Amino acid sequence: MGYVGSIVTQNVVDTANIADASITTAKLADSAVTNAKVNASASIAQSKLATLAITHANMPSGSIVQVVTMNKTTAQEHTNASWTDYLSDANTLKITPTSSSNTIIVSMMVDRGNGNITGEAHNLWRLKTTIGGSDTTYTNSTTVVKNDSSGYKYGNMGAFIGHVFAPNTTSEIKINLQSYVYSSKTATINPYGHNVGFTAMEVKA
Amino acid sequence: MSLFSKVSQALENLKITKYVIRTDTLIDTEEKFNNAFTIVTGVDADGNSIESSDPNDWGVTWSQVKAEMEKL
Repeated sequence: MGYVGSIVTQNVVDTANIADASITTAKLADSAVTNAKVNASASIAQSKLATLAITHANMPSGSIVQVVTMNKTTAQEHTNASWTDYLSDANTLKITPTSSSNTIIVSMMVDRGNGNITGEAHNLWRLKTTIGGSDTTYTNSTTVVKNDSSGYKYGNMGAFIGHVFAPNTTSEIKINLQSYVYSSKTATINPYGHNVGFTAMEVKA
Repeated sequence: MSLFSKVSQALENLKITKYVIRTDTLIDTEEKFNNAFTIVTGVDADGNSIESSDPNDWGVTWSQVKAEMEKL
């Protein structure tokens, strides 16, 4: 029976004695190929890799792991020297964190104003979160506007309001906007019934 | 056009205070007014408004508001 290459001595087969392309995968033991055996420049084609399941566990810290959005056309106005919700409880923005370690970024793009007034109006604004019936609030801004011209006019106090918080929960969070009339006038949100957008993003710790 | 400027002016003229209006449409019928309007009956321990959507608590009716709106 013949053999390839030079005479084998002392049961040692060196590289030169192995014919090119003669080592088959069947000759490799299971799990024999380690990461160290793969060249750093191998550039293994994506088509030869199994589909990678993108899970929260393999995303780096700082990744956005969940986004919820909501559009509303609700107009609201009140006259109360007490904190008053923009939206009814059923219509609030809701997010349920996937981990209690994660933080939540909330942004609302909504026309806030002083109501249809003459004279000076002074209002306070804050975000309210409700978890299992328990409220937490985050005061965001104090707004003052003065309309000295005749007639009633809506004063715009700005559109953007938002906050970043760590709710330490995996229960549903309801998010609402509240205002407080500080000057016996009115507070107004989106008086013309335009489209307003609300977003809550969960950021991995 | 604001969805409630005439309504709020009418409420002011009628001396109605401590109210809330929430609406997605122009308020021009009793049904829309009743769906949009609440009166604040108190304040809870956290400083939040306590609202009532029961017309018996309001001290004003759509007919009164509408009549006042027509004067504006």
